[in-house]
Amino acid sequence: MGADAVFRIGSTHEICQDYGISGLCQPNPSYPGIPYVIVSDGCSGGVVSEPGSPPPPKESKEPGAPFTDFGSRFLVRAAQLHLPDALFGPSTELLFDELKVISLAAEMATKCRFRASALDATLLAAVRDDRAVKVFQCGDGVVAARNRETQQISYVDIDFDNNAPFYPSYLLSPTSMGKYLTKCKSVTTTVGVKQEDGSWSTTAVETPLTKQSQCARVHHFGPEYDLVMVMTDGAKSFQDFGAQAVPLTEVLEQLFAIKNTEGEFITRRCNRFLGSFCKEKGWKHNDDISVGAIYVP
Amino acid sequence: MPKFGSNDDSQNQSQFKSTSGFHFSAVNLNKLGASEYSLFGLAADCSSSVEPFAKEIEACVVETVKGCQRSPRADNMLVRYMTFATRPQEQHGFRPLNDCHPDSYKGSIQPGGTTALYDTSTDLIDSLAAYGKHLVQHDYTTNGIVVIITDGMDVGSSLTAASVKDAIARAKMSESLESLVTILIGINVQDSRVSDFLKRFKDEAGIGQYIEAKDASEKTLAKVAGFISKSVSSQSQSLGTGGASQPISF
Repeated sequence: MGADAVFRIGSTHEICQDYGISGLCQPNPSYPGIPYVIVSDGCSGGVVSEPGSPPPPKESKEPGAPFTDFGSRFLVRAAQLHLPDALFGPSTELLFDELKVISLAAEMATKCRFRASALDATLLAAVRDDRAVKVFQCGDGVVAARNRETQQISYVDIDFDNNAPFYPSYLLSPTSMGKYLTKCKSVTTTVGVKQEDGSWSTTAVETPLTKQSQCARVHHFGPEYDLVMVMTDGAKSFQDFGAQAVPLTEVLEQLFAIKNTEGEFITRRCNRFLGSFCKEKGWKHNDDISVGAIYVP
Repeated sequence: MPKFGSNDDSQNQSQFKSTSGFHFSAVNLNKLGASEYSLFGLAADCSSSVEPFAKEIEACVVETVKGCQRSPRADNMLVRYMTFATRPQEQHGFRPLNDCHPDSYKGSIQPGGTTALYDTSTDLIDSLAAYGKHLVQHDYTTNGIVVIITDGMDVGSSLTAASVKDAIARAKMSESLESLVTILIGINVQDSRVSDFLKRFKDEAGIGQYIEAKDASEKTLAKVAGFISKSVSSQSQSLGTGGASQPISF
């Protein structure tokens, strides 16, 4: 299939608010299908009372509060249901119509009698487009890719001001969107490229956040890339046994050390990385992590 | 003779050599899409003495395969099937359980020859360790279960019970298998000397469990098949827990 996704609970979490799926989008059985992955990271703090405010520390140990574990799943499911329109309908620059996706997710949440805050979750999706890969990102997270000739890994890491990532749920109300843009003033885009000598070169650019259209973006990866990954910000939450942060680049190097691209290739890699490598090194990830990968042979 | 091979098989398999020098075949990794697999090695005695119940042994193997295919873990099992008389013989190498067609096992027991029990046991255990290592090197998670069915004492092996013990130890120390379950099944054990031999072999080789059946009737071997498939399913379900499954009672 060339697409696989995995999600794992963070060491400080009681429930996993990340979610990820992979599959083939087939408008009809005779069509070969387009590989895709979709991941989402539900807000793990308390209820965000004001969009754009940093999430308060969790005070309640009530399981499921504030239900963003459900929300991330609804959001992923809504994106999955929207895929045929996104891929075969009138093309949009962003690939996904975030409002349609979040509205569908909101219907699901309403049926389950959840508040809209349950949908406070990011959304990243990657779909294969012939020999290229298109990535849709709404919220924070990391997108990385490998050059098929040089095996060089590069990544884009999106971070929002105030530790308050943009959530598609803010689109459900113009008021929420307005409040978010008032509180969250900028977005930082860090681009990293692994050099031939093994070192990483990174550049970070902080851009003022002034309009809704800046909150979601599409990344295009041409046929020069054979492996594209999307991951939630849990990839940046690794700590070593001395509670020192593990650089994202070291995590990426492990995630990209894929031995075999058949079937559940990223599940295998993560099982080995998290189950063996991290255990030996004393690493753990505090936050939930989900990783989706598309392989283009 | 059963037809396990096909034109497709040779393209989808590779040849390997284990620590003890035995050769075995196994499916190529590009056919393995899951993240974890249980390796099931099965060896059935086809020495001259099993002739009166060769069909029952075959039926047992067929029912074992069918039983395993009913397991919810069927998609995560790879099977290697051997028979043994004067020498061990690989009937088919490690292949996905769902690619094992029960009908193809009919005719696999062709009695004739002595009983290379030690050689076959070592061959089978070492092949699990070697292929397990190959899978682990490619990020798969694996565990293993070996089942050897025999009606008698070893005659003619070049190796010893100590060799089998060493093979088990190598498999466990290599960490290529998360856990390894080993089961010896004696069928039609009516002579106390055979019973004593097999129990001693179990102890000397460090085999985990010995099951003894006093006859090799259709009913008994059907029960043996059920026991084997439950043991295999149980070991497969324990994959990822870090430990082996609990022994199933016969």
